[in-house]
Amino acid sequence: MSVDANDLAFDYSKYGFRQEENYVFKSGKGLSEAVVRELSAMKGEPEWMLKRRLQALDIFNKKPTPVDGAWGNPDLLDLNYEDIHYFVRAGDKPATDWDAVPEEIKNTFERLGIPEAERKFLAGVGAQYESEVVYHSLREEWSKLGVIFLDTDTALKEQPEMFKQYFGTVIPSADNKYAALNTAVWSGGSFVYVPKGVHVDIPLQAYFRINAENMGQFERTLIIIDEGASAHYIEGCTAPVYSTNSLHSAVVEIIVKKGGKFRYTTIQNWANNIFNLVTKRAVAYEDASMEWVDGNIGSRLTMKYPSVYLMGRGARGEVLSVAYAGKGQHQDAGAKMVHNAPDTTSVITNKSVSKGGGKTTYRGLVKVHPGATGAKINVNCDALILDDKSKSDTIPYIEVEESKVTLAHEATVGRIGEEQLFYLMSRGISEAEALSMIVLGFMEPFTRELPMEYAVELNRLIQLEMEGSVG
Amino acid sequence: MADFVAVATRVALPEGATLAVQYAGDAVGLFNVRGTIYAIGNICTHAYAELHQGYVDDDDCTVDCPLHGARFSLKNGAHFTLPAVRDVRVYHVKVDDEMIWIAPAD
Repeated sequence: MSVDANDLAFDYSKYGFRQEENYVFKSGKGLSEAVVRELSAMKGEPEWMLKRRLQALDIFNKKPTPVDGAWGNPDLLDLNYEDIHYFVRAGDKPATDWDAVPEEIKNTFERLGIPEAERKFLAGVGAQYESEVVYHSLREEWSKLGVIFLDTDTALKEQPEMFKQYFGTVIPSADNKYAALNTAVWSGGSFVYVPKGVHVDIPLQAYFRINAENMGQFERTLIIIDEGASAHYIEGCTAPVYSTNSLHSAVVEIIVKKGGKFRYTTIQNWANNIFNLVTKRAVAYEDASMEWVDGNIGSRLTMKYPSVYLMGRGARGEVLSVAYAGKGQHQDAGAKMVHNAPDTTSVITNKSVSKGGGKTTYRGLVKVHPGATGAKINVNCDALILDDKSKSDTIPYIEVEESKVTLAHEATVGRIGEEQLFYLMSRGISEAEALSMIVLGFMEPFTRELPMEYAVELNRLIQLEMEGSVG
Repeated sequence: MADFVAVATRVALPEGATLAVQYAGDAVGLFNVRGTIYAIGNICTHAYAELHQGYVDDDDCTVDCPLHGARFSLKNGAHFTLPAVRDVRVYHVKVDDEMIWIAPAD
């Protein structure tokens, strides 16, 4: 029996289509102070934001590209910053009615099923096309309770005090080169505020779509969950396939106050020419709970390590992530947990599958500061390698500066066992189906945490990726 | 309270300038913001970097660590942003005609 991954082209037709470029504004290629000033002026921003952007641009220019070292990646050398459009405006301002969205853009989101999903099971929806949000709405029942769900550009205008109070406090511009880049040219993204004690029990969703070639998308998301409140936010990302590279570099900052609960789910299915360099970090205060559920399919290179800073007694953080790397792809994903208070808990579960020469890397950090007594940490990384051409690395950093801590780290790397396949095939299942079944079962701890519609979609995507894996 | 020690001359720290000095072997950063001199621990509590080389915001009276951007108050050493999770030490400052003197506030 032979199991051989091949180079089957993924059926990307649902996501890979592209629309004519018909834009209100498109900046020239390359990044300069003039581009930043023009972007800020077009948005009519306050002076402090322009100042912050220019300072971040300076930081971006000074920081070296992290190609080596603990958190570096040599694949970044293939990214040409001068060959990217940093700001593309597709419409005039975000509509709250799908009928007011330009026809081509509306067609895009209809093909992606967003308006239908909104009608069926979402509390609110944001849809970003290129640099800016083209549609944003929140059901009235939630806005009446004081929930704020806006695109980030509008939030800067309508919620200036709260915005300035929290912006950049979880992820400063200088945190890393790509956080600086995002701060310099951020555009779009979501702003969420859930007031004290309000439980938004159906998800809010944002969908990010890149359409143009050589485009950079730099959305900025800021979420504040007040004391005792709870919410679930889902983001989806796709782009068409081009022969040249595009860049997606988002920053997501989340604050979960005392007793709050928040879950952030990502289903990312980027085309294979996207560099996806994202900084996601949350801070959880006393008895708060923060969960990142992170699914990574597609992209040329993903570097993403969702983090939780546990800053109050009893705070809890969890990262549950899966990554699937096919031919020419590198999924460099992981998690960071920083314990800075007693009785804090964190769980990291990372599952990766590599196939057809793809590479997966788990890179993670667990840090326990002195005084975080009674901290409990559980790290579990499983990698599945489907053929001889593919690779997987596990790079866990653990820094514990407190003695009264319970920490468990478990990692497995393996291939699909011949006996597993044989067992399934002896029940009359074809080899391809058996292989697909095993991979889906491997991913199951992740998919079972997704809303049903997303779990079905993710399983279908993985099945499509797996098609033709049997030689 | 610990003794005041002269750590720099006034001419070495004109308005807008910063300076790295030591107090009893500890690294201290001096900052002259619009004529007022502040002294805080000079090493970021997140990762090793000297704060006096960071960006000073005169309006907010803060400094951003040059390495990862953690922001600290020049007035009381409090950390305002991640990735720092601890404050830096703060020092009292006295100035005479020639010298700048500091002593730990705690």
